Amino acid sequence: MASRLGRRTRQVFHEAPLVLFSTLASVSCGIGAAWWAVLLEGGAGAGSPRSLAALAALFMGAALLFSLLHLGRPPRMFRAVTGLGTSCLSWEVLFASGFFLLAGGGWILPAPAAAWSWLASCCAALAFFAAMGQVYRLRGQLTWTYRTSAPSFILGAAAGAVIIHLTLQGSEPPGLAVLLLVLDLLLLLGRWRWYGTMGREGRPAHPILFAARSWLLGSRAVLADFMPLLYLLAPGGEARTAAFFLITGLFADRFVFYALAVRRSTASEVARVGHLIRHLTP
Amino acid sequence: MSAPTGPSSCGFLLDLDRCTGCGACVLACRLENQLDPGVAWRTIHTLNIGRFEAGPAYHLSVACHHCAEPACLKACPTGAYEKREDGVVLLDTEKCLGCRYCEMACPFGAPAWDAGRGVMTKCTLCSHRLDRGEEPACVDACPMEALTFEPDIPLSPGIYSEPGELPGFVDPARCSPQIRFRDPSGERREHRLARLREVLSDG
Repeated sequence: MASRLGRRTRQVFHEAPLVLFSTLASVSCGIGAAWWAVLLEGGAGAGSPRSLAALAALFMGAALLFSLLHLGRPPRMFRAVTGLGTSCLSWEVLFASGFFLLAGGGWILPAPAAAWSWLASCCAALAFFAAMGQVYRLRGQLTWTYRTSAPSFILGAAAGAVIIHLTLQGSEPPGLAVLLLVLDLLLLLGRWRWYGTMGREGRPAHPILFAARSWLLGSRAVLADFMPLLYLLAPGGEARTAAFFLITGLFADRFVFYALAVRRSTASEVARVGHLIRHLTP
Repeated sequence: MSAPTGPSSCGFLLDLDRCTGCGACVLACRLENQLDPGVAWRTIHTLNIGRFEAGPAYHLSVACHHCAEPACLKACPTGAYEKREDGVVLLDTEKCLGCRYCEMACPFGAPAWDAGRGVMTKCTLCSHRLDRGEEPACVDACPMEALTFEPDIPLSPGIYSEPGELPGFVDPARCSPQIRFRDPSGERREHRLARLREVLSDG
């Protein structure tokens, strides 16, 4: 029964494991990327690299496991890095795996090797985001090609990571996280408005979600931006609750990203032109 | 058809006036390649099924267009795709890990997911038949001779309808599909295309 339900879910929304992978991977690499930001802010809030490395490695380990669920042939997973010459997806997999190993090293290796391993993983985190930004720049995917899609993705993850840093060390309310969240909200509003201008052309592969588009985007804004901001700016600063909402919001964001994907294919184009012809005829 | 000048590649030519959408090409493809149920390499899209006056009515029989710059090949993380010298784009299912990224990248919906095997599959342009000097099965089966195989389509479009000019067929990924369409010529074509362009610009 469970396996049948799993198969059915995969048929209807095969991107489900990718939602989990991309959220967890981006939060994980966000922890590494945010390390640089925290260092630039003065280094006072840098926290303990070993605990951060452990958290990042666990997140990325889970992300990689979920990514396997999306593969039709999981035993062939190691082939995913054989297309480095042409495919940005290969680079994404390489950097994700590299980050996992290096962050794991930062967790379990003795000092000073652990510190160097963590530093290297922070570099891999930046490279991972660069590769991931390229992976989602597919010209045939109308809703993915919007210019703020990748920055929005990265900002949300980075803001989440900064909050996680602060949660672990129990510091004062973070100006950097607030700034990132506000920027993320502005980018989301731009994306939302752009979806609205697409009209019927913006009908996603899962039509039931088309009607719920505003509701989905609104929920994402509340969970990923408004609630974390509210808790961060509250007297005393509730970083843990903010982190919880932000990670939930990032899951919602990734779900919306895949659910509202509009693929421009011959089938969709024929349907669009057919619709226009029908409505032109008196 | 003018003589090709410059680099060329093989592909399909579809005569839109002749195709009746009978489905013989789809069936022949399925039988020749022993495709599992639910997997289709060739499909027929009927534009303007109600035959409204406002727009053109035709059947678009399409499979993989064996693009000059295949988006699937660039996307594949395992290097499972290969473009042969003659232009045929092949997928090695033994290398495919079933990530479905090529499916997301292709704007024509050509790669087909084989749920039973957990890999992507696609039209091979019946390369095994081409190697024997025969035509692809879909071409061979077409009773109207609407679908033909062209061994030398110039890589720069221009001898027939350019991709994007034909309503219902676009190339958003700019991968230069190697398919050409023979559209009705003359005043009738000009009239209906002009009308349709008007609608599309409004839409």
